[in-house]
Amino acid sequence: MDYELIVFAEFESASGLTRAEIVELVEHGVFAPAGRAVEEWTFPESALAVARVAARLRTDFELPPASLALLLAYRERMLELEQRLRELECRLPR
Amino acid sequence: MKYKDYYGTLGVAKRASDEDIKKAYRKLARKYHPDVSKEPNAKERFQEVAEAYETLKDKEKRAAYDGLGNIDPGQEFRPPPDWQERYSGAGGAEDLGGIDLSDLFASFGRRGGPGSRGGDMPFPGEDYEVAVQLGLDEAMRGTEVALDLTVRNIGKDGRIERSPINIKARIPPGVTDGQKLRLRGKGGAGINGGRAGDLYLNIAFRPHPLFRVSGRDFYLDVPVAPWEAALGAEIEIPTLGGRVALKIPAGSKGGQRLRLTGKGMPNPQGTAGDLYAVLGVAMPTSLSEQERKLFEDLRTASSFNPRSHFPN
Repeated sequence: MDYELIVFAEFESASGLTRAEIVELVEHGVFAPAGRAVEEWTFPESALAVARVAARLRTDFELPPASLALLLAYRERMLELEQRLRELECRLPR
Repeated sequence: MKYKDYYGTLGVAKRASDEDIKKAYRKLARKYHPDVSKEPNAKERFQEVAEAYETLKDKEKRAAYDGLGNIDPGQEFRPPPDWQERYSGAGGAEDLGGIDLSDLFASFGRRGGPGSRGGDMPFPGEDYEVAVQLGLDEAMRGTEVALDLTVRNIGKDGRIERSPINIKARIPPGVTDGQKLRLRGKGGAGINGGRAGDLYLNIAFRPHPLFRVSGRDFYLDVPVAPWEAALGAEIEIPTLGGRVALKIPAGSKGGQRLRLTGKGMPNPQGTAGDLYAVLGVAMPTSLSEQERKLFEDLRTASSFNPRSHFPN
């Protein structure tokens, strides 16, 4: 749920990503925090779930942030398509 | 403690090179990683693969694992008496009750070595992640769930202990299928004043006998009689909040969706989902003589051609 905003320090600690990795993923457009300086960044709760996936993929596949960004973009697209598929399946009478 | 065949898990020979072990891990990780895999039991399979790789990729841990000797997978065992002395990083073998082989290697090197978690450094507690299945009614209204977990705690001396815990978690109304709910501070206790971990609940809905769910929208198949579809009707349909009236417009078609705004999943922070009635034109399984006669009269009287768009 997106109604809670997470401050940078908590985001870093709860996600398992390092500060440098978060900054690079923001540069790649994976996250779009509010705030100007890094310490002032706030993230929606949904970004934390993505960040935790990123941390797992980084560790388990030894991926650098640039590859992570690409992979997460494809994953996002896949989730959108799965959601669209579910919606279309729901429309069909059984 | 039960023995696990880490080489077998990765599908490599005992004499496999580090490179072969890495290749085997990467191949299996691609196949079973729970964030990308759709394989059944992907999470469990990946945990096995990751556990095997975690030990075999590390020279010292691999040597200690090999030092356990030839044991059949699944067989109960204790490390040989001199095992702990031979491998400096090995956890205490004196009290192995209730721990898993992975715990033994996870605590490897933590005690006394450079990787020790002793001292006053604060460490955050472990995050717990658990799947929670909810009925649609529970998701709509919110509920409380009791979760039984077996968790690993790392003591000050680096020793890993497993203990069963019971957590009660409140699920707020309006969660969605696939949502990850974070309960801050409900995970493992922090070490040396570190913050407590978080509890993540992966919400999944049990299938409902009537309603299909997409995001916050619900879909309900509503069968109507041919004359209700042709002439229109006022009918009653079930919703999770009780029965409501639904107006079927004259000339409705099978597959047509009628929207009942706000009758889907509530949204504590925004607009509730909608309920869609998906119309299906149902036919009686057998016709009485009078019904058959009326349909025959209709056939004669009607000029309607449902296939008029087909080319001649």
